[in-house]
Amino acid sequence: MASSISLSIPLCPPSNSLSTSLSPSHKPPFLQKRTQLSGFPLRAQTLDFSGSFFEGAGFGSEDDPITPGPGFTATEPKEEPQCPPGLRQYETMAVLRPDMSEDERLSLTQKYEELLVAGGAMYVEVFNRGVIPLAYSIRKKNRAGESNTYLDGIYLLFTYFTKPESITILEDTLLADDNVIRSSTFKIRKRKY
Amino acid sequence: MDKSKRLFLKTKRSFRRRLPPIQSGDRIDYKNMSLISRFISEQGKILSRRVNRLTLKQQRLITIAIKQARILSSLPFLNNEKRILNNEKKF
Repeated sequence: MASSISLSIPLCPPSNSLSTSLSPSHKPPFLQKRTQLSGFPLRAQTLDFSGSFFEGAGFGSEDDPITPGPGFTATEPKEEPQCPPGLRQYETMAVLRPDMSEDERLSLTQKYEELLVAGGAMYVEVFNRGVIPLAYSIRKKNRAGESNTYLDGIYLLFTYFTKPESITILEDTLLADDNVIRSSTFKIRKRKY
Repeated sequence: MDKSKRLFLKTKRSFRRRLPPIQSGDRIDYKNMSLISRFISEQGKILSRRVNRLTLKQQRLITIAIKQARILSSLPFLNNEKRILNNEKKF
């Protein structure tokens, strides 16, 4: 049972991002003449707006590349604009222990949000994907020295804009945390295919 | 983009060209399991570009995404349970 809890802290007024759309010229013009699917790229781009769970994205920012996030089951449209003055867009996927209670999970979420905001993050959002069986078993050692084997995990996704320096602190905290089995931090780039 | 489709055609057969597996709507990402799992084999291996019919850029992004998903345990590194069953059936 996957529940999605998203907490967003918007700090900039939302703007209409649907007015600016990707120009069709990112496909080579000869391709459009050839295939009968020339209507598809345009339609797919408009679908792309609704096909993203990422609420904080818009188009046309000079500073940072934006990627419209792919769906888990992508239904939420992108509304809020990017206002990252010198900040970069990152996302962190963390896998937690499955036997954590609801309160523990919430407190952990809050702790990381505070850590992020203290490091100067904006637009912090947390998505909870629920308990998902892992593809392989993972062993993790506690502080006490005992090692447990896990076959399920709670997947959490943090998306935020922050300074590059505060990423190392976050990663170290995630590594040292006993409740987090595995974590990865990625920089979000806008990619054109 | 057209050249990549023609590279792997040996005989001139007049069949309808199938749709490209990745339209520009989807984003290639390690979270996008429905897209990613189309490009791995039964055993969890990454399929080649020839089989996937992707462009080079897309294939590289798919490879990176699959490897990221493997680290986060969304995908297995190796998946040899089914194979053992098949061997047992033979003997």
